Amino acid sequence: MGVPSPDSEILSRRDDIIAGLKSMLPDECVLDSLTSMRAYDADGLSSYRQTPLAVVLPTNVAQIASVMRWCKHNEVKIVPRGAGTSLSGGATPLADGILLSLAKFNKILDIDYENRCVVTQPGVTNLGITHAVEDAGFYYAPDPSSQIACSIGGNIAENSGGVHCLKYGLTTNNVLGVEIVTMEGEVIRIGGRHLDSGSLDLLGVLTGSEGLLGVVTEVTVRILRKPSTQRAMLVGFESALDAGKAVSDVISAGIIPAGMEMMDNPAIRAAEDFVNVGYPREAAALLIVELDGPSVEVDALLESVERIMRKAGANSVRLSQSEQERIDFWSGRKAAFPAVGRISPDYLCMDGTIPRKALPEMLVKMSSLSQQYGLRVANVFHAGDGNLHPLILFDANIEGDLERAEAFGADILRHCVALGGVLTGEHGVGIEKRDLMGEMFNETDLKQQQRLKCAFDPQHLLNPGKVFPQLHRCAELGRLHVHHGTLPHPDLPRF
Amino acid sequence: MKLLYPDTLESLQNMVAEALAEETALKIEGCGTLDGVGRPVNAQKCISMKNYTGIIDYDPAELVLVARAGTRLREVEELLASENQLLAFEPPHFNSLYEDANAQPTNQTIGGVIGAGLAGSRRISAGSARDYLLGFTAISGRAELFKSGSRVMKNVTGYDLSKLMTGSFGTLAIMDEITLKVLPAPEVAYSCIVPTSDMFAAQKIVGQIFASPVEASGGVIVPVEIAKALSLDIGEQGAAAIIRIEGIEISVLDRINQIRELLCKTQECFLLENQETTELWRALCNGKPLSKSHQIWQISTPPASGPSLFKAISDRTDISGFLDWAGGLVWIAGKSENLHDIIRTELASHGGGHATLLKADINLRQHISVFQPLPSALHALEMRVRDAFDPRHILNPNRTLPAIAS
Repeated sequence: MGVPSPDSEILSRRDDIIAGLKSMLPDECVLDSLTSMRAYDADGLSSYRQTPLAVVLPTNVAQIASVMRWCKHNEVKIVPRGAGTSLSGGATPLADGILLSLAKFNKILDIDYENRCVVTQPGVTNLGITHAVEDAGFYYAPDPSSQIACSIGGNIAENSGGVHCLKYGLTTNNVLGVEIVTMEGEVIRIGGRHLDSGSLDLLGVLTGSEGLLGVVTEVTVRILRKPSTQRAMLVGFESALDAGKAVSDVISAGIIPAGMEMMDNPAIRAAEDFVNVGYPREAAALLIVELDGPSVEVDALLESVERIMRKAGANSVRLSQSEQERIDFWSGRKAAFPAVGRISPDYLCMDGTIPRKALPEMLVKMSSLSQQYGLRVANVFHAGDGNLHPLILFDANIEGDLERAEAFGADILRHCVALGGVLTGEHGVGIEKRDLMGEMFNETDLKQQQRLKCAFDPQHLLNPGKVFPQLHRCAELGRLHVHHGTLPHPDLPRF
Repeated sequence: MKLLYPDTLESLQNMVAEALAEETALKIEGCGTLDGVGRPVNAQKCISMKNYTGIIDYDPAELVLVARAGTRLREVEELLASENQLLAFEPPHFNSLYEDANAQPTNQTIGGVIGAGLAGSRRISAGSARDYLLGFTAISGRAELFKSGSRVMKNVTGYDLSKLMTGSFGTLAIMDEITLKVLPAPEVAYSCIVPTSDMFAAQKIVGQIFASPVEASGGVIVPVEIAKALSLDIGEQGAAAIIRIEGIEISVLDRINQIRELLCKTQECFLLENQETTELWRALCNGKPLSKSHQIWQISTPPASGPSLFKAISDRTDISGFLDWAGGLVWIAGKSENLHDIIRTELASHGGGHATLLKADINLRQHISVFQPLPSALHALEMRVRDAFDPRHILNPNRTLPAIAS
């Protein structure tokens, strides 16, 4: 892991670069002292820290456009940053790059109930959108665990999910439009308050592009009316394998819950000790199943789910009887990461997805890997969509522990791919999983993805060193290898 | 035009490699059902995917289906129905739009559905084809086999090229295998029809229902003549709101009561049950009330702008049409030679969005921009993205080429 080694020529121009930035931005929008930049030296992947060349905090789109244009002209790299909550190092700074913070873009621009959408600046938090519309009975559906802090612009970059994306989709299924500034400094609007694109779906490919294609400066998302009823069910199992099967059985029965989460015993204990809401401490696995909709529907489906759970071997079933109890059921799950933080000095949070039916097999593999590496692991899963979050417990003060934990994590992700799954379900590739991309994609696949990058940023100036294990020059990627003969007059325009 | 019928990945790849070496343009089609969409392609050879068929895998418990691109939509839908599942984005069957009424049942392919990015009335609640393409393999215009995505529901590994492929009309790559997310079919479906004075009033009702917890799966606004064409009796009223509610029966009936309460009992509302509902929405998705027209447009606009856009266009020329997606999809059929000018200017001043010429004779499609013209910076970016996949423009050249907005 790590970022590309800095370009000494750029570092030697630092004073000129800072002077250049200050010529475009008010002084208070450029940070260049070590102390002022400390808050920006890492994102949520905090084991990797790097002080950037400088931090800029523009206040309007024109400033962003001129910074980008200037950086392109002067071949200076840019790392965009929202709230800095990425768990994969999407906003890890570069020593020879400028960190572009969108923190001052923190206003909601329009709430349009008639068209059921919100137009907002990218620095507004995910939960901030819901707060702005909840009095009218609406909400923004994707709910990543970091929703109190993470920004909507960052959600676009990472295509963030959350516990309710089983029914309501990820960010990509809930965003209608964006305004971006390209590396050229051009302001481009894609989509709007209407659905779909009349041409190539660039909005779809920008979402989840991890800040490599453009800087998002405005976002339009759809909002939904809050369901009239939400109820949750806590189900304990003596066997994690049975719990895994129960998850599949619910989906097979044609029921798509709003959320279906699973925790294993170490995660249950850690969470219960932290929040005390009555999780069954002895259970091998716990499922939280939430249903929403009209109350008659919720009640009917909960009955079906309970039947399925009992048949699969559940030995405890509790239904939330009040809104407070429903929130309590979730509190342990939502606090799982800090709870695990109390039982181990350090932990690594992994994020792979597997086909649901492979869950039992994955659990067996994980416990054998845990023994092999001599490290404990606690598991929380978005079980309904097969998204795993193994938390690998280690102690950074023990020499070699971090490396062992990383190797353990990489093995888990390799096994996800081997089972027909993927390296990351919602946290992104960033620098964390960059070197594992070859497990899932071959060289041709990766080169095709990089050609897309070249269409946006041919000099690799925007967030380089993320996502792709090896950077190819765009000229090299554009070269055509023709199998059955040579291309005549390659310089002529075609068709 | 020389017709080529690949049936293996190898034969498909060789055909593209040969065309690349010779620099000959290729027309790409499934069974040609959607040949009438987009600009005509002038090519020496045509790759028809009609023999490139077969469902590779279907796992109902995982909600995943994998099929080769030429597999017929009908075959996919029949297989899903046997497990009480469906394609939630409700792809329209457009054969009735382009073929004569006596034509054989649809041969539309799943590759065509994805390539054209089709979605029906459930787009407003469940999403479009783009939201259900989990992954694919394809041969690019560089004659290279590449893949993107996967077969799991939640995946952010690498760029989401599935989104780009959907609606690209075969101009970036030719799809080999297509992996789709499928969903359980609703147990029952009811339609609630509310006659109103005009389309503005109907759209208000639909908007009100979509802003309520009723979770409607479709909202259509029809003027009286379309209601008649659909055999809906709305008496003396000028328009109707049609709302579809799907799910388990107990819930559907409860939600219909909620709709009645929302209408404050001041407004009449009549119901259509399962069979009639299925037929009605199939007709709406497929644009059946307009299918005899020779010029048909689909316009995506903010839902609340639908009625005023429709009125602004009909004030200037004789049209028929209706609104789907709670008002956000405007279907328009007309005859006027300058209908495209009228649509583009009125769209710009009534909410914005994009207009696509869905059906017209070849002459018109050759001479006007079939797709929404793009601002110059976006246009240039899009051209670079196309070049990243098909640098020599051998795949369906010009089929979707948008104009630059003035």
